[in-house]
Amino acid sequence: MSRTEPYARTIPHPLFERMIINDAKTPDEAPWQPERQHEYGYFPGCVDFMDVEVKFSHLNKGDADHASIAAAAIKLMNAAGIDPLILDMNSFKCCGHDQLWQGQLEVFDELKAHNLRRMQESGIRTLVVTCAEGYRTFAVDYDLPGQGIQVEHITQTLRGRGLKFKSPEPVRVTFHDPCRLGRMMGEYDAPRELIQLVDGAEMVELENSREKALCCGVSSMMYCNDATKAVRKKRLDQGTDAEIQVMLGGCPKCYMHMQCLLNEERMDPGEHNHSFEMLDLMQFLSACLVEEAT
Amino acid sequence: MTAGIDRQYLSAWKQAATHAGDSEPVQIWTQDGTYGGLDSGKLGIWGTVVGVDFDMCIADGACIDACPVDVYEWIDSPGHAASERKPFMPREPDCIVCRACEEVCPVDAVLITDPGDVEAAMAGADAAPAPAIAEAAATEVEAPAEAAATVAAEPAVAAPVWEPKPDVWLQRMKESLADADLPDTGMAKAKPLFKEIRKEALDSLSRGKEFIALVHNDKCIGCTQCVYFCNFASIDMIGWELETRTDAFESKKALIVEDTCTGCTLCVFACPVEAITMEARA
Amino acid sequence: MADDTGNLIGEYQQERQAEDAAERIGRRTEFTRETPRQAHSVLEASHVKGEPLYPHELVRDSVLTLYVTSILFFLAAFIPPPLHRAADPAAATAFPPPLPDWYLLWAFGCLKVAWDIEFTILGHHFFLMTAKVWGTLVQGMIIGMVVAVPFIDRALGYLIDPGPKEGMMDVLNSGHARRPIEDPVRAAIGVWGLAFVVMLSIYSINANIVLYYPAVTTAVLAGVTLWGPLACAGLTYLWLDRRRAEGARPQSDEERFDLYRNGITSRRTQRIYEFKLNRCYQCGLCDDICPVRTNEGEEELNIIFNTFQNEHDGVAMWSCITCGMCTAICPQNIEYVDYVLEQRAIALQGAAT
Repeated sequence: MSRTEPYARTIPHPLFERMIINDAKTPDEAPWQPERQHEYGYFPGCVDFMDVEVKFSHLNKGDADHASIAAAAIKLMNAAGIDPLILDMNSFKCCGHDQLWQGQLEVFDELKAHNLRRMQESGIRTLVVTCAEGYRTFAVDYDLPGQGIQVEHITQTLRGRGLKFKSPEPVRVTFHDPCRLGRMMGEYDAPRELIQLVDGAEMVELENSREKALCCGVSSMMYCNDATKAVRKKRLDQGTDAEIQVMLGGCPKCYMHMQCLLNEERMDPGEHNHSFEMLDLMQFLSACLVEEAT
Repeated sequence: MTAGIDRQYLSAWKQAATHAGDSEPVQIWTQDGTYGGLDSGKLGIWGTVVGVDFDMCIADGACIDACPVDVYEWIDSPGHAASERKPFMPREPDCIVCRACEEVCPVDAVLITDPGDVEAAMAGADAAPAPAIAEAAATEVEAPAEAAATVAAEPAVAAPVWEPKPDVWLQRMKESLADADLPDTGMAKAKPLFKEIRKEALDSLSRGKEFIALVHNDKCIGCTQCVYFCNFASIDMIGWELETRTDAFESKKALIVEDTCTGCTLCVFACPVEAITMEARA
Repeated sequence: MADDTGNLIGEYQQERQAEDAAERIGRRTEFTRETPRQAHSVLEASHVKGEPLYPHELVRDSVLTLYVTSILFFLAAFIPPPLHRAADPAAATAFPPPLPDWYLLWAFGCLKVAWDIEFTILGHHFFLMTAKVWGTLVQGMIIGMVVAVPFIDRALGYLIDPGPKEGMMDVLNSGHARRPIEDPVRAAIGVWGLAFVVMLSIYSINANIVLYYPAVTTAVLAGVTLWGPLACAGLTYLWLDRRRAEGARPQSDEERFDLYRNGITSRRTQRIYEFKLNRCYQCGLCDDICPVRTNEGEEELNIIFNTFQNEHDGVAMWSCITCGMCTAICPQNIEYVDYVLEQRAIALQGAAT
């Protein structure tokens, strides 16, 4: 029997996506000038939106905190001696990754035009992002390097800066490679380097890692259904097989989707076998940071 | 951080006067206990279960549109600085505590207090009006609710239970960020955007006692958002065997309990895959 | 909820299914994409559809075979070949000398070109081999090199990407076939080889040529055989490089958007934009590794197959989670993920006017 209907449902998350589309269509011509020159700019992206209003708040009864990813990244950058200009959502808009991958080119083009204009006004030389999807979008689809602004994922920015990390207790961790950071942009080593710096953290590789890493199953908020749920569950099963205590992600979206499945499983206490925590790499490093006495 | 209605008004403010409603009088609260009338320019907070700060209200009208049970109607407030009319709640006892009006108010001038919590709130208990389910169940682990659809056997729906996730590292992370002085990332922009969407969504949904929510199982992904948002504990999660080529696992899908569903449309709104629709009750 | 993409996609799928059921044609697709990973491939692609062996290729080949055979029969019936006396092997001084068939003339040429390998160093005389021997060996070497091309290719692939490999990743970036326009150097070498063989063949009949064209002596022919192929190779390289430069011009956003909107109408542009799916040789690695495919319970949700066949019933296109594992494992580096994106864009363009 040939399947003629799509599997369960394409999302896109109606609220989240409608918010972004409305925001894209709202013209924002007000000129913007940062107070002073910064070399680095940090784009937090929609991470905060997910936390605040977009109805993932059941994940945010304290147990999935997206805004802290941005906060942790800023803190780590400051510790590394970087003073980034925050390209906050008051002047910027969503990078448009989801809209691009859903095929909504017009919306994407509007978001891109707005953000590019703001980037030029900001005067930064390097853009740092914590989101792997944002990383790919800015580097490839916006082609910022072609316009004189380098794009770096936060792990690339933080490595080699002499940061020291110490884990309060010995812990077994693993790194879940995001599709956009790993396969699409070829960056597998920077996050692992940072994890190796953590004194007391033992890094293990999951059965599928690096190029073969399993997707978290919901690309660009497009698809969550039975098939992709199985992929995600398989990923979490691999975590259990590797006997980890913390799984670290490199993208807030991966973080969110794993948390969602972990949350759903809590409905039946004892009937699941995923007893590890899911954290974003920035959150973990922030908890382990050894602050230099100033 | 956000200015809005004083969330402690039931204990901190004084009952100043009443205004006639359809079946019961509506209480008016002011800070000093005096009330000068609708044309006085200072109106205070009206309502107990449905509390609206009339001094903040800008007559946006979202609350009136959002209400599924038609609690509000306009009342004139001539000469008031913020707006010349206000959303009066003559049918306050009809309120089904869906909190839709609270969500859509652009100036956060609405506070809904569950009738069961009113006494405690007036006595000064620190009642944050969050959905009762999440707070209660997060700390209790009862015998697991039966996964099969045997809801009809029980007179009241057992609140869904779940064990809390391990959060050792989460707490550590929060502590590490607690005293960091970090710049703003523009989060506040989301709120008005969200309210706009919420309003549009509510405009397009049929809601009220004649309607009931219906979950489409082929679309439901079992994310439990709806369960969290239902204020009436009216959604259950039932087991569903999923078979894939390499795996067979049990996932859960939502099921609306007909007896207690009030048609408030919160679950429809919460569902990330639009798996819930409103159907007319038979 | 009105006007959201989710419903739009559902409606689009239904419409498309209805249309496709009515007329089952493949859709022209045009897209361009420039990503950092395409360092080796500078052309973007449009539509040249691959076709399956059965029935398309088989039928076509059968028709051609029968056609050619019928021509042969016709010629045999009406223009019989001239038959003279049998060749006399004892007639060593026959002039002009007997020649092999045209396809072996190059081998004959090898033998002619060969000379006895002997040299004198410091008064000692070394004799390595006769002309006949190495003239024959050289033919073996040439054939051997042709056979060895895939292995050389693979070795070059390992040189390009020498990282540690495990499991399926062995095939990544090795044995990567390229079209002439993507690799002008190799194409030039190939042209050199071909020209050299042709020149050798011509050289081998020097005795016959000089009969009719006394000016074209053996020395002239030797010069042509030596320098002719090099000239051909050089010209090939220059020409391919020039064409590559034309096609490699990065597109601005307006141009790309225009392509979506207006379609590619110019034939010349179509030739520049080759469809990359045409490279696929159905190794099946992408199918094995696709996480959606491996995790669903039915056989028909075959994303890669559907995209290859250009059959967008909507399911495959929207089911893809764009994780990129198919692209990562494809030995031809076909960017399926980008293709899915373009398809979605085109789909929504059509539906959301």
